Amino acid sequence: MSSKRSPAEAVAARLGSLPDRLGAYWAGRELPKRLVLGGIVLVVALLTVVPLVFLLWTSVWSGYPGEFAGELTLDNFAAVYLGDFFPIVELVINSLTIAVGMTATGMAFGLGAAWLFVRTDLPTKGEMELVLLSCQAIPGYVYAIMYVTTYGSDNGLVTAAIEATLGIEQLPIDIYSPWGIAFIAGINVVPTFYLLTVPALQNMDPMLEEVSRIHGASMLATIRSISFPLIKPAILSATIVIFLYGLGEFAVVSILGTKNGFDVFSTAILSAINGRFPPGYGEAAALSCLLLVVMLVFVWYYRQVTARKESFMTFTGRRHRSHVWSLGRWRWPLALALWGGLFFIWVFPILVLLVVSVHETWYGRLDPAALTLDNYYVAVTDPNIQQAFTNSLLVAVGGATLGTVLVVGTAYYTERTDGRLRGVVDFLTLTPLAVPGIIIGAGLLFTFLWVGNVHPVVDLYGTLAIIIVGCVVVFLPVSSRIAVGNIVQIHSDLEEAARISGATWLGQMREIFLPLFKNTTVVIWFFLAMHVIQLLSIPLITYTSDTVVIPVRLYQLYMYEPGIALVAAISSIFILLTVGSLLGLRRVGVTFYELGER
Amino acid sequence: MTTEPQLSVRGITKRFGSAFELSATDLTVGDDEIVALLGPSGCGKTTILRCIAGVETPDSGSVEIGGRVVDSPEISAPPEERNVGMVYQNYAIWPHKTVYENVVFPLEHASHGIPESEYDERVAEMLELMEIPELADKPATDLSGGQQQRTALARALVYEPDLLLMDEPLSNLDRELRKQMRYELQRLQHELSVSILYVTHDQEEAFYLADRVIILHEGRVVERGSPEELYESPKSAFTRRFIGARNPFNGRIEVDGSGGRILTTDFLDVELTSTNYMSNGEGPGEVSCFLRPEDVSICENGDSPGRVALQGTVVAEGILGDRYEVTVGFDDTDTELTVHCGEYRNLSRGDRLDLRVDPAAIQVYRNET
Repeated sequence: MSSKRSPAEAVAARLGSLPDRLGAYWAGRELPKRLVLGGIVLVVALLTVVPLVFLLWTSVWSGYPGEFAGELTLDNFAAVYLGDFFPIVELVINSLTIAVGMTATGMAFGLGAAWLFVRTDLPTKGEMELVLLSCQAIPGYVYAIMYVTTYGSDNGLVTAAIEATLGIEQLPIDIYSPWGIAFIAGINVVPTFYLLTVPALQNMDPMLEEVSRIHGASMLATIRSISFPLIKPAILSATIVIFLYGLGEFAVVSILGTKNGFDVFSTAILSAINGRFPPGYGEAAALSCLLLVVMLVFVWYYRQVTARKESFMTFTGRRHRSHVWSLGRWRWPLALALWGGLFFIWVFPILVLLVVSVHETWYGRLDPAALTLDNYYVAVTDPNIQQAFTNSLLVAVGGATLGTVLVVGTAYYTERTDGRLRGVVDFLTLTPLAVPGIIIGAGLLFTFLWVGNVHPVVDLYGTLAIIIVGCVVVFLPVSSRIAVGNIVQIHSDLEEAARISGATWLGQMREIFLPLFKNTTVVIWFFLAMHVIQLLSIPLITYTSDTVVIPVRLYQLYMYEPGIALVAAISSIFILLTVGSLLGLRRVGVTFYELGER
Repeated sequence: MTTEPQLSVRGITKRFGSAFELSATDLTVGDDEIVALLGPSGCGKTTILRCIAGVETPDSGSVEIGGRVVDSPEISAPPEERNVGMVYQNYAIWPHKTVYENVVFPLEHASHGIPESEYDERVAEMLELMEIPELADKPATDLSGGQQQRTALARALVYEPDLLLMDEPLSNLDRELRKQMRYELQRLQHELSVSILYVTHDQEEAFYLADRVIILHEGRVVERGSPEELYESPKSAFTRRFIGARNPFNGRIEVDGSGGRILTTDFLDVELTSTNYMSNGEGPGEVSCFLRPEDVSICENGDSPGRVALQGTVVAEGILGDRYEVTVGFDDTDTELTVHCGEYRNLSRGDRLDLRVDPAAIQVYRNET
């Protein structure tokens, strides 16, 4: 062999060794890890921060979003808070009414159920829990429509029947009144309140109560001085979370409030953007700011409370077989009463919806002569509705996939690396908790009106992508809690052992972490798909005629087109699909309500 | 032997917030040597191990494994390039893989000279050596603690790493199994002649297995030496306390009229020259004394020349493992001596007892002022 190499050979040799050398360089810098996690973290930061930035910009801009020829101004704020663009005082009062009523309802039923199901020997409590949690699969606006057909003052089956029996004109109970709306909105958050307080009750060491009894305290004294103080932090944080939901509540209010022109912040923001001409973008943004500030205060308080809660809760890490109080001879009467309540509040409206869906038109009473399957025929064959179903599926699959990647990536970043931005990223994944869906939607809309004007490539306005992105942001807090809660269950030694055994970071992820995290990933994906497909607020504020999804179609049909029977038929199909897939998943072992909202 | 050490760590430090600090630590592990890092929990021994493995990055200092620098201010090799094996306290057996899949993993991922066609044979050999060949196809979740331990060892050794790191490998096993594994580890080390750095808080384990022991306390090395040296004559006060099971008592050195130095305590006086005086201070002063329980004997009859006679009262007694233990108090003092004897004695609280002590067994340390 010649000892001298041609320059070409030398270059080729150097190039040939390039992959190896690059590989070594990469491994040393953990470059793949940095690229993957850095990319995910960047996307999360963009998604959570950018819409708020554009929202703020729009609120202080004289032109429309996307209209660069404008200037900074405080006119929008003046119009909202000093002028009469919105009935601002009324909005504040209404929003507070809804938030308070919703929280009270959620707490009364949710906490009551949590205590009865976890800490007493109530018969059939497992079945009751199943009913309660399964109903969470039905979105709030569908419940609102069901209540209209069941307990509504004009066409409600029950109301009409009672009025006919008693021979009176009008029952004194009105679901369209502010407190009626608040109650129905509250019914929707009972499962959430339940899930937020159950872990505290389950984790409480029963010996703490036993010791109190042994040392002479009565049952009531024990509950008052031992049990309640121990779970108080959990109750407080659940209350704050629900109150935040209440301040931003949209779906139920928009369905039930229209009749009497009852508006809260969210509905006013939506109608300023969608329902006025010319649209009040700047005013809507300025109004959002007040709500954001209020929310921020509550979130700050929430963090104070939960920080304390952790120190409370760490007194024992194990999940205990709870000590159960005996209800004695009240067991069965109480169980029967609860089943009655469950039936009339959660189950009966569903049955009525099914009944309505097989009537040609609905007049508030069963009409055996007018039974028909026409509505289902229309629901299945109407091209608009078919399109909406397709869109909904695309949004669900896209949202679930994007969301799962982001959530698993950020959870890995915050729990498994010593990255400097861990605290910030963790905080960012929680911020959407403080931003109602309508405001996230408005922020996204403004963002893409601005950004889309810069270059058509980034013009996502009027695409399903904007809906997908918005839905992911809305469910980021809850789904990232699921991921974080489960990632800490996998011992990091397992991953380190793989690295020490010679695997690269990517190899370790492929062989160890992702296989071990597979179940949680599947749970998160289905959790997101299930919730994204039902979400009304984001699509409603960002849709165009090509991107109508099922929740939007239902809303349009209910609001603008007569025919509650068709709405009932579509809802029935929708519910059947979601509850059906839920039960199907349960059979194959995927349950996520237990994991749900920690 | 004069070969290069398999591991040499120079001046590594690591700080976690303000709560804990590992201050400049040096250590080496030679070829075919077991070195134990011994210390109470939270002393930093696991941190050292993790820095060596590369799953933690030291703030400063350098680490060399097999003659190659893997950590220095300039570079920090990722764990997969360090060619070490590690056994975790909780074994870290991957639950979604079988025993075979666990053990073959390093062969598939690490760089080594073994051709792929020999993987199966190599794994089988390793499982044979660990005496678990029948478990190869079992899912890892079916294993008992001892079996997981053996699987973890097989996995750590299968690709013949330069260095084996063990983090409290026996502490999750029950007593009997621990004894057995301790013995097997020694046997394995002889058969495979691998270099091991062994982290433990258990003094018995460290002294039984290690060629050299390094004692760590609050992030710094307090003493190092062979097990014999540390057992016979520990130099630091912490080591004496930590190694434990030796009766401590206080005394003073006094100088009598003729210039002879006497050790006085509240229950015995002896000439200092007859004791094991570990310091080199002259003159009088306060001292701490230690006397191992097996160096005190119970006197049945007659006298034994050269030994100090003591009389005390039984305070507590009972059978402890494979020996009989008596604690004896002395009139008008707070001092108590624990005595071990091989055979059972029918004593009870309050009995008077004659003891004999060989003064040469009393270790005397001058108190630092």
